[in-house]
Amino acid sequence: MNTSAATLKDRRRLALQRLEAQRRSGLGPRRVPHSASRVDAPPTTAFYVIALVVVVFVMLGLVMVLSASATALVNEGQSPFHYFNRQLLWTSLGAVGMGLAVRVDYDFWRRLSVPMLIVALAGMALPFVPQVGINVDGAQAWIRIGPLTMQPSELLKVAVVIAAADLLSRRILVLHDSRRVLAPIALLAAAASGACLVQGDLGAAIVLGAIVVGAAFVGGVPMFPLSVITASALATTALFVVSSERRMARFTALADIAGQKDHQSYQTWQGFLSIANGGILGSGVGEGKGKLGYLPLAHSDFIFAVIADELGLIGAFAVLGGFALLVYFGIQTALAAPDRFGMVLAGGISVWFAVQTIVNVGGVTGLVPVTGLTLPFFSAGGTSLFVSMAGAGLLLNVARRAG
Amino acid sequence: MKPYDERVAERRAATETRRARKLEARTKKTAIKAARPPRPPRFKAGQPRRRLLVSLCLLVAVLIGLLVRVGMLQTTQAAGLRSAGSQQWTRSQTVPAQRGSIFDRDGAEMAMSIPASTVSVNPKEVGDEAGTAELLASLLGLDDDDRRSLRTTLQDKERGFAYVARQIDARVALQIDALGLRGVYVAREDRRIKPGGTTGSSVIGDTDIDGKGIAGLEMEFDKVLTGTSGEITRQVAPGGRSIAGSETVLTGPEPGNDLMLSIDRSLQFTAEQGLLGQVSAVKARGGSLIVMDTDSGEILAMTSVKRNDAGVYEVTSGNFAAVDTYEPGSVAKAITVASALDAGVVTPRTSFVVPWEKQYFENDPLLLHDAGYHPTQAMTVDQILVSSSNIGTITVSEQMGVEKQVDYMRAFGLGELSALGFPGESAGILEDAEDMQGTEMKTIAYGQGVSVTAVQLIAAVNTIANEGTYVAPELVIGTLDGDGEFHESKPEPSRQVVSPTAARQTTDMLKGVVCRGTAKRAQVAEMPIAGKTGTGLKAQENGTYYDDKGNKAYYASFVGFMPADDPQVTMLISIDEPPAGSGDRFGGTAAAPVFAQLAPAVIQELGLTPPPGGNGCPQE
Repeated sequence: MNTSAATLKDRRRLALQRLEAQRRSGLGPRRVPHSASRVDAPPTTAFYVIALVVVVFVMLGLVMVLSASATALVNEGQSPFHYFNRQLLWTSLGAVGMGLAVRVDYDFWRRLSVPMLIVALAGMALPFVPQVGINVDGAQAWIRIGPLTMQPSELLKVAVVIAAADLLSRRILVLHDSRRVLAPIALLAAAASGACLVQGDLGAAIVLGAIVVGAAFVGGVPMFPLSVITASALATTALFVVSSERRMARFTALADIAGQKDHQSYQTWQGFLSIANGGILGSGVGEGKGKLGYLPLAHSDFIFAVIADELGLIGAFAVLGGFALLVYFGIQTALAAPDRFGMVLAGGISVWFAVQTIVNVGGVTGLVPVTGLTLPFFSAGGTSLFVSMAGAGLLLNVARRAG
Repeated sequence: MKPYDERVAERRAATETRRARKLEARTKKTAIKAARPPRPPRFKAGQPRRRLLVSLCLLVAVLIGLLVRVGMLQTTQAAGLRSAGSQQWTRSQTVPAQRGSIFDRDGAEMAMSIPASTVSVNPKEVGDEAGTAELLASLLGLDDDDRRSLRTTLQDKERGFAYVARQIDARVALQIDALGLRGVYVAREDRRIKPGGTTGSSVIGDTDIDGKGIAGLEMEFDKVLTGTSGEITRQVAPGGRSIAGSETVLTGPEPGNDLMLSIDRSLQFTAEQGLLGQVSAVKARGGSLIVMDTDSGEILAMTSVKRNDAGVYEVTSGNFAAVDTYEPGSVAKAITVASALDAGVVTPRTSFVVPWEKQYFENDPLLLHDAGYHPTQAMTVDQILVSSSNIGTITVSEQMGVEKQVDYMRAFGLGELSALGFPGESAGILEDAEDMQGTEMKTIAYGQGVSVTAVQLIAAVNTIANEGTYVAPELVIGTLDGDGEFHESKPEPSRQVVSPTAARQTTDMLKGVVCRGTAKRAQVAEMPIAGKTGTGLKAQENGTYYDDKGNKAYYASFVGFMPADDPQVTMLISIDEPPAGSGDRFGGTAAAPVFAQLAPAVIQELGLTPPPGGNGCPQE
């Protein structure tokens, strides 16, 4: 009987919906993680390589932060270990965050995706709260809590990559659906990047946009609508650049870095001098000159220039090669992920690390404008380090279950 | 009533209908969605696997591109960038070598450099102008005016450098350095001092504030004293502050060599005081004094004093004894007589008839005359020199002719630079005989028409004292290098100018000058002295001996040596412009007494033993 068959299907659908609702609200029966059986299996090569790269990066980063900041700090009459100690503190916090991200099943984080996104987006408003927000170099992107300064846009990166992966894996069958997938994805990108642009932080906006677009690309969103979203994001960015004379000048200065070395491209030029000073073998740790006070933000945004100076082309190869390894094994993890969420998550995080590195190093080497972006794992900056390590933890989490 | 079955059937049917309706309604509800035919996907979903690999390739390619870019900056484009970089963050700096000391002949310091520090500011770097000015002013002990001007300097952000205090006590500088004020710099800069005050300053000269010799021996031997500056490079933070420990010494500074002078510091002091006393007593314009070792030509004391604008007499830092020239007057008669004796045209006893005045050229009505009237009389050469007769001396000179007179004067060292090589030293003026005009050919015999420096004159008279042998005057007897090794100055060649006999005969006459002639006031007990006075007329700016008001200006001098029979030391005293109207305008009255006054100190200092027989002058 036609009707009864429809009824039965209906009833099953209703039951499933109810269960889903219960599960989502946390009231449903505790489900055994589908990948639990694999946790005891030996981790994959990707797991080890990613873990090794991250550990080496963080340790090398600590050394370089000390080297890059000590002299300038002494000249200012501060302790040479000021930034180093802070970075060390954040490394231990980051280690905890990374451990949690690895050990806790990623389905847990997935279930928290919406609340995390809401909290992170709300946090983006904090820099505008008087007495909490700090304006650094024209960007209202930092907050101060007690002795610590934090950058909410960094936390947003983790929230956005999880949210995007969750959305794309749940609506896998309707990826072409403009209302259920395309619009939310576009909205996510717009909200995250837009919040950064409002703060005046172009670098973070680019990375967040890249994370969403990257996840959507990896997640299989059809090419045409994805291109439209990407194109409109790029157009917005362009508009943002053109709208400010300062940003525009930074952009046009790229064409004549040597000529503008005392003005617009001072930082880039100083970066060049440091990089060139290193040569192939490097000038040796502690021997760099730019960090004496010539190179602005030598310990944070421009730490790559100090690495290229003190460790030479070999050091630059190690850093960029390390990121290439991270991306390679990140993508391998995505390919071998046990489910769609894991795949998109691993892919998104890989794109995140790669794009942030490219924009940062591209800025230091004068290929793109300097946008005020940290080099993941290396640059001094607590939130950046913590979030990078947490992101790496999520990647490792997927890698543990891959295979 | 309907049968039960019917009712049941109705009820059932109703239930069925109700259920059917309910179901229909429910089906309808869900069917809204189900019924809508699934929209055919306009766009095809991508294949994650392929897209992941595309992402991987893309991202890794960009990373490789970045590495290539870094490699280019570090290799092919590195050269220009590196030199721009090192220009920016390293500074090379010269380290001035310590300037050598100037010692007297006994090794006592006459000029030396002592460590000091200089404080400078870079107003561009100074943040807190008021506070910085206040701190510096209180540490340096500046008064209110200086404090205000310092503050103005600090506020002038156009300037990148300004001195605050130079060559101050190193301890004060150390305190300032310890404050670590932004834009305030402390550097070592030696201070040049003369431990003996003005003693010898005429000879030593001066250095400028930068330690460069600008006068006297400081200037003449600037290269020797300066040494070779070293070079260090250091790394600097923006704004020029050095990075501690980054200094690299490229070449160390080589300290300058020390000079050892022939000057005897205590004799120099005594001479200066004696001359100052006499010059101020007679109210002259200035004066010079030289003490010379007869055998070697080494100058034991040499000084010039002058009345400054405030009317106070002081030792000058200009060595006018070597720089200024004047017409020596009668002192030159000794040279003329010694020359004539050497030429063999006269003997001490040769006698001439000498009028007190004489016209030499028919077309020139000018009469030359002696200092005072005397009847025309026969005079021996000895008498001519002792009484300092101008006409008599011309007569003696005429015996050998003006060419020979000039040749002898040149041989005595007049008209040419002495071996001292002193900065600004003058050669004097001694024209060749054929260039001379009119009475010059005659007056040159008694020292008018020739101009000389005091150094030339003492060296010339010293030739007579030294048995006819000219020895060049010498001030620097050697240098001491960094290892303390002494390098003796190359001796200048000496030359026989007149025969020992001629020199001795002249010396005997010069003894007479002191005993019975114009230089009686140079006499000292126990020590025989020979010498000659001179009262030269100073040539005025208009070329005559009279200034525009018709006044004459004198240059009174005395050159003598002792012991007369075995001369050891020669001394020149000249008094510049003693008051024209006073009795002190003559060499015998203005200059000769200084000799007598200083002689005991010279005898004492040089350990001269007076010969038996007192001063050799017949008792009157």
